Amino acid sequence: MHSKNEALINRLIEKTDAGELNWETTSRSMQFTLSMASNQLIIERISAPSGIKYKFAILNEEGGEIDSLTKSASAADHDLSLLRNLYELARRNANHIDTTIDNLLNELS
Amino acid sequence: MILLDILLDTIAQSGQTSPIAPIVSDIANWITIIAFPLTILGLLLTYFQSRKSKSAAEAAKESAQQTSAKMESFQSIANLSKNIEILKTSPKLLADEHWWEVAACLRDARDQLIALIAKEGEHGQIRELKDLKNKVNIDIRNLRHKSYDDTIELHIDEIFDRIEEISEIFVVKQTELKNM
Repeated sequence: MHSKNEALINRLIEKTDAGELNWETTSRSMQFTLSMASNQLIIERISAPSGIKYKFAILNEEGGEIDSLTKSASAADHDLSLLRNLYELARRNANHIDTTIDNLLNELS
Repeated sequence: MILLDILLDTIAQSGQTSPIAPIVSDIANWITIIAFPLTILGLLLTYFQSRKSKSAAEAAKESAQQTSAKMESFQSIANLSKNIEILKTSPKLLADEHWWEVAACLRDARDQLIALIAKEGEHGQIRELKDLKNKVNIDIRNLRHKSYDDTIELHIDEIFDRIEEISEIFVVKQTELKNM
């Protein structure tokens, strides 16, 4: 992975984990998007016959893909670990999982 | 005036006292008295005439701008009408699983949204339109992928809702433009 892409993904992980970003669900299962000023970011989990893959893509204003990174779940390397981490955080963020669990915990306390 | 001045100078140079000299002098004085307000009046008329010409030029410019805005507005209404009609065909195409064709309809709608965003500037419902445009971008991408990989799971209801939402916005914008 290019060092700039890695820096971007690490920053996204940091900020998503801190609850500073708002990922959204899309019309496709297991796909989450983040809207920036003039670009969109996508993180998705793809179930292909060849196995599970994680894909990160940067889109321009018209939705055209300007860069992407796909990693197979069988690769078991650092890049995959980053993409999987981002996917999990984006999923929790977009589905408001932490807030929901906090509310449930409050109800149960 | 010049002729009277010459006449007076000639009489003065001859050293003789002419009986008509005082009359000529009086006439010259009267002409000077009358000429002064006439000069002022002339200047005022020139000033007002230039102002009138300037305001006529400004009115012409304004009228040209209004005509241009009107034509642009007619063009926008026509584009919105076209896209409203295209979107009307989309639900059927979506129900019939013509993914690529729905993506094409949404691409046109997305371009129209971009045009509306550009027109809105930093005012109005810019945030709402941008969010919608971004969602449509992802829908187009997903529909295209779906057209060659049927295993992809799409939330079709969301796309139906999106089509309806865009259509409503276009109809509202069209009405706004017609009422302008």
